Amino acid sequence: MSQINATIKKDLLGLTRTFRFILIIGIGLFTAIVNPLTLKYMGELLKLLQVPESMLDSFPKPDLAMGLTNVYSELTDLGLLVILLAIMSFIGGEQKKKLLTMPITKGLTLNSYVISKFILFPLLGFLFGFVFSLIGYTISINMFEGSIPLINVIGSSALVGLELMFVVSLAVMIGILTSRPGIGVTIIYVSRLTLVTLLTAIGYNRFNPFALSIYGSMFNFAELSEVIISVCITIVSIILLFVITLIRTNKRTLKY
Amino acid sequence: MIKIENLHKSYQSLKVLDGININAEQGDVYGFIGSNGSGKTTTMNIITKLIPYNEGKITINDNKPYKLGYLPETPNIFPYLTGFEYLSYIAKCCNYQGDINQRNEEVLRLVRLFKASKRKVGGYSRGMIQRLGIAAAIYDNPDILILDEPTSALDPEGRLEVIKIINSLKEGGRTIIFSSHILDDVERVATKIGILSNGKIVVEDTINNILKKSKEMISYGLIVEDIDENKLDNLRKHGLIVTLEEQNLEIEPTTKMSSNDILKLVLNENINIIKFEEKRYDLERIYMEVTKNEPNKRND
Repeated sequence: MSQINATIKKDLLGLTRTFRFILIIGIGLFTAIVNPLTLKYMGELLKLLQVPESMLDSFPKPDLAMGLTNVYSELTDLGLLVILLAIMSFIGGEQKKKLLTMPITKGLTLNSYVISKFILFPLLGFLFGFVFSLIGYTISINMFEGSIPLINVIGSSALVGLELMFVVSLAVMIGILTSRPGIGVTIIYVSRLTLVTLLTAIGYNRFNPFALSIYGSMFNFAELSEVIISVCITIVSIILLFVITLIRTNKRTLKY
Repeated sequence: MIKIENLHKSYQSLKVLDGININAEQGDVYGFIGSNGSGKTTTMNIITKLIPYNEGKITINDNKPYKLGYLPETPNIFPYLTGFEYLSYIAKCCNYQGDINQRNEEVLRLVRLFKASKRKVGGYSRGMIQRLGIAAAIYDNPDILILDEPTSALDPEGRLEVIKIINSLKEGGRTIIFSSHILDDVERVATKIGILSNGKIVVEDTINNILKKSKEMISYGLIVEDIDENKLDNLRKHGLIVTLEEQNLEIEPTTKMSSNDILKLVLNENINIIKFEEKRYDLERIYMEVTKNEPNKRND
């Protein structure tokens, strides 16, 4: 347990003492604040660009739901990319740079190492999605018309957080097992984008851990049972990713 | 303490270790010598269980529990931690039971890094990182200490500091395996030597025995004039190995002969001697001799 705590503490120091933490907070705030602002003043911006009046009329008037959907979409797109880039030196980069040789020869167990990574970074992904979604709500509610019950907003924010938690867990697994976090981040980001776009295009995005934020954007949770099943599938998937990583590292596949 | 028998290791088709045998007793400082790429690091990584091996037997501390310290050739250390924080992390890794702050201070003072211990490792020089690596390796007073090229990337001052630290670690009966291709450093530290060549240990003996033998291995270097092939052949008839490069004549007796005997033979051939010197074999010459057939030492 002390090895897990020590590794988490070390990673937290690594995050907070470098540009990474500022980058994560910065992009979160940017998404939560600038997105609703941009949407709110989109009409004025387009007028400045001399877009024809007839085209401007075709845009729907933004409301609270639209403002929040925009925030969720950015958090799971640009926000996700920034998180993955910021943490990649901790999930595979340490092995690539041979930073683990001394700790491991001194007794750091691979189990402790993997567990600490699976605690900190997926949790960071969840908190990023959840907290900045709520900040986005706080900004949007003062900017747009319409209302959404707070409990639904909290539920939606949690779904955004859970989606990010799943993708970060996948990145942790690929990074640790391949020691090539850069390739892992590229594969995850591109394949997630392609998969969600394809499935959305054919109208089948149900039970997809990569698309939980789409449920979040519905706000009314009309099909609550479907949301609950999707959440369960995502949590089981995260546990599976963790177990696969543990089993593979215990077969000495970890390069350090 | 460490007994390696018939150890084989290949990376795909490349054979790195071809049945090496090593025997390091408790208290030995084992100087492990070989050229770059000869398999020293591979052997050390196998002893530390960082990589698997294909065949052979390794017995460490008669299969009883032991503590190990390892300093890799390039000790990469988390640059965002301070030296003190890194050692606290190492303490958790080795489940150190004592007072961590006190132990940190002890080892930092030993490697003369205490003043810099609150600075981030990212700002350390190469020598400071090497010393912090040594502090981490010795943190829990290991029974076996493995140091891979600890002086190779350091300037003369840094090398001297590391050599002093290693000498201070000899006490307490711990076994130290220390690889290097800087033979001068090995001679200053080691009590026993193993020379790795072509994937095999070609020489393994105590440093005293090796240097004792080297005293019996003498050659002579001369700068000469008025010499031709006939005169060289005449010298060879006396059982001398003779090589000539421009004016530099190298003479190696195959039987016991004094320098006077050699001088007489040369003067008898009417060769003008400008300079005459006796060359004793040191570790470097012994190493060059036993590894001269290594493929990467040939020009092909």
